Amino acid sequence: MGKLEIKADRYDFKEDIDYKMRFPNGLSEKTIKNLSDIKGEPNWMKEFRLNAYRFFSRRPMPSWIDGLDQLNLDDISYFALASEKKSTSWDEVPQKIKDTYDKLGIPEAEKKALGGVEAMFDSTVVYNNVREELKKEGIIFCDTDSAVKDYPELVKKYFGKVVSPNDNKFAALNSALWSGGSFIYVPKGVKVKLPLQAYFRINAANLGQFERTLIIADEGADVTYIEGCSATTYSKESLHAAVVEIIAMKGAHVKYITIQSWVCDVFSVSSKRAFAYENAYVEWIDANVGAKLTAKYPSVYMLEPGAKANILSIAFADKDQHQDAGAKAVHLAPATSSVIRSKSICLNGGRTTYRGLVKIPRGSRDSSTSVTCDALIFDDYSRTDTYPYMEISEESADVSHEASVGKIGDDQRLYMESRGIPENEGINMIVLGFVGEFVKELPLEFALEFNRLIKINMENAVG
Amino acid sequence: MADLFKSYIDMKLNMSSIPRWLIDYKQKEFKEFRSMEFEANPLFKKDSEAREKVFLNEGELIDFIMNKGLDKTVDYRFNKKSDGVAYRDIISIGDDDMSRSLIEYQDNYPDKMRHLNNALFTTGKLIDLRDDISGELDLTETTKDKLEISKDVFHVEKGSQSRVILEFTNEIENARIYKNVDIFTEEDSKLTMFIRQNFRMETIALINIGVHSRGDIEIISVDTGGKIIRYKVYAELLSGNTNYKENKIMICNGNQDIDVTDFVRHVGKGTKSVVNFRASADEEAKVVIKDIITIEEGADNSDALLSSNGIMLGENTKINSIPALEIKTSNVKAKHSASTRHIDYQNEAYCFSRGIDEKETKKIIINGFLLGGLELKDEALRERIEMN
Repeated sequence: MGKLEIKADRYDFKEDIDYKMRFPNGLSEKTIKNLSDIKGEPNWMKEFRLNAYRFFSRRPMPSWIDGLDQLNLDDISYFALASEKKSTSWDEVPQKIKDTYDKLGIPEAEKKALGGVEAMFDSTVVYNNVREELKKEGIIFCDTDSAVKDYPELVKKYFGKVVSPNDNKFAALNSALWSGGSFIYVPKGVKVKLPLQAYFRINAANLGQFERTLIIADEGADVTYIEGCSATTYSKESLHAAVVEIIAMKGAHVKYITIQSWVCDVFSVSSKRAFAYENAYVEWIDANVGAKLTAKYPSVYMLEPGAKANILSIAFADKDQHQDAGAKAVHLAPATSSVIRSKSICLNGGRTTYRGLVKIPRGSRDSSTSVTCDALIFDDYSRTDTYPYMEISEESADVSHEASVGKIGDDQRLYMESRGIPENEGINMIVLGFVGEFVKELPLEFALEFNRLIKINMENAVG
Repeated sequence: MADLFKSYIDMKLNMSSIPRWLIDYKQKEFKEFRSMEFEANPLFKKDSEAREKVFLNEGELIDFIMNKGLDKTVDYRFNKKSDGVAYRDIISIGDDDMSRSLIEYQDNYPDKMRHLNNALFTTGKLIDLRDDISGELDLTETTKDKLEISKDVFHVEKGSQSRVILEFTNEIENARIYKNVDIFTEEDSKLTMFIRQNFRMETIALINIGVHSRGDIEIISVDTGGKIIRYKVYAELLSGNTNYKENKIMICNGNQDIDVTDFVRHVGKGTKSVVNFRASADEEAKVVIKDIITIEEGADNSDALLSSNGIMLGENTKINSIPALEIKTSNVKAKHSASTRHIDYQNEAYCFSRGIDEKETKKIIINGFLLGGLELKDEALRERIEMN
């Protein structure tokens, strides 16, 4: 079979920005204090950051993620300021930064299909805008830095409560260095009709980006949030270590979509977790394309009866890439249910790993879970692994798991060829069919964009 | 303490009557044991609580050696042995014996306790199943003492079609039993092996089974006894077109703590494996089932199917499953499935409505779960399993 490629390089372009400020490489307590002072934060947040830094310093690097040992944290700059101003109109955004988002299609998408947009460039949010009709309903959508100052009571109540600063080493790092990210509050009973989007762009080399997102959906609220991310290729590593916390109150529905298209030198190590209360429904729809190493396991903790989780994860690993992705579902109440579906494709020596946890402790009566993992492996240089953990201590639980690994069947290819479809195009169709479940979850414009992200070339096609 | 231990081992070995090559082998294995951390496989961060209780500390081991020396602690009873079966004590194997290579064989799964067993075993048999006669063997191994460390090697010669029934029991409560069992099958051979573990309820046992296969092999094992059982199977499918089939049935109750780890490694092209675990857990039993199927680069056209199913019968039971796949080549089919459930109330209602009482209903449903799908053409073996 010929060569298959995943085209993420349409996002690989660089803008020559004159940075207003950039921290030197390396990390110390002084870095944390400087960052907090630049942001003009209240004292409680500075203390929060410093405590987190202490946790970070004490924790060892996780040894179970292959490839993480190649990340040199001393060779990263932890803050770069491209623009001092956050705008609510694209006309006010500095030209070169605006050019970046134009190439990515963000302003256009905002006009057509989004209720609000936030654009983060390296370490800070440069643009944020919400449609008036959404503001009138009491919906808050702003960057987290602004939320700390403008909505302190809300932030203090929930910030760091879902993912604590000492949860893991990279959550501690984010808690110490977070900058930018989204804060969303949806009032009781409000259904946000159009998705909200944030786009995270890494332009500088050797940069650490630590977006911090907090979404609070009050009782009966409904919101869809889309996160996009991309970066420029350099020969040195960058780090994206995000923390996303979701609180879905009674009867709320939150759908969080991520389309990650990093380039090959980004390490993406994020902590994403949701608390779902009574009859709440949380969905993580997670696409992982690009990055030298991704380690990401979106999770839902179902805390009250009737809570539900749906986690759909897609991973593509091309040459020199390792996607270590998965999901966690923790059932802490009766009558909770979760569905986890994972699809992965590895080619040209790439490696995909599914790593998941389902936990149903005693007392979570009549809870159920279903996990499905499917992997396509294109050649003998690539590798795919599946490591699912199921910890079941409740007698009435209903648990099922299945996984399969294989290549594109000869019968499928022959079917296409017999219908006059060239091999390249046939394989493209089969792969898009394989990821079809994910594409169905996206708003139309994003579905089309996602399909364009994965373009298959055939060279030297051999039967 | 560490040097004293090594010195004592060396002294006892040198004073014994075992062959020089075996002394050298044991010393080498002891060195490997010393150099390793527990649980060499980094995959499993969470191990069962049994881990800490299973392993003896060095003081206890020295005490054992001082009191027992290298005396035999296992009674081997051959209930049935056809002409095609030959056996010898491992310590009677001579320096120039080709069988020595089987005893000294090292596979890809270094494990601390396997090395310890190889270093300290006081009893062991090498059993040959010959090519010219179909071999049949029914063997019961009974541990007679509070501590047993043993090593058995089964060798199925090329062309042999053999059937082995192997039963592990013990006489004394609170015994600790450490067993290494290595099974070698040559090309064009076929082995059906039934292993039953029926230890006394307070027994702590660590059983390592290494399968090094170039022929076809089917293993059916039933575990019913013991308090803390740690069971590891390392199967490597070395030759092209080897078939490996494993059915494991675990019946756990009381406060049993059962930890099963199964590694199946496909090395040869066109190798096939089907692994099926079924466990029932009642009262306060805890079961952990961990499997890794690995298909190595070059093992083209290989197929692997793993199924791990548990049924929970009590409020305080626990079943943890970790079925894993590591696939390093593209031209394969690998699947696994796992489920953990309770008795379906509809199935119960069906039986009650036919006048079957609760106790009998539960037995029918559980037997159906544990034995269903077990394709046994061998009627005698089927009867033996159902009786147990």
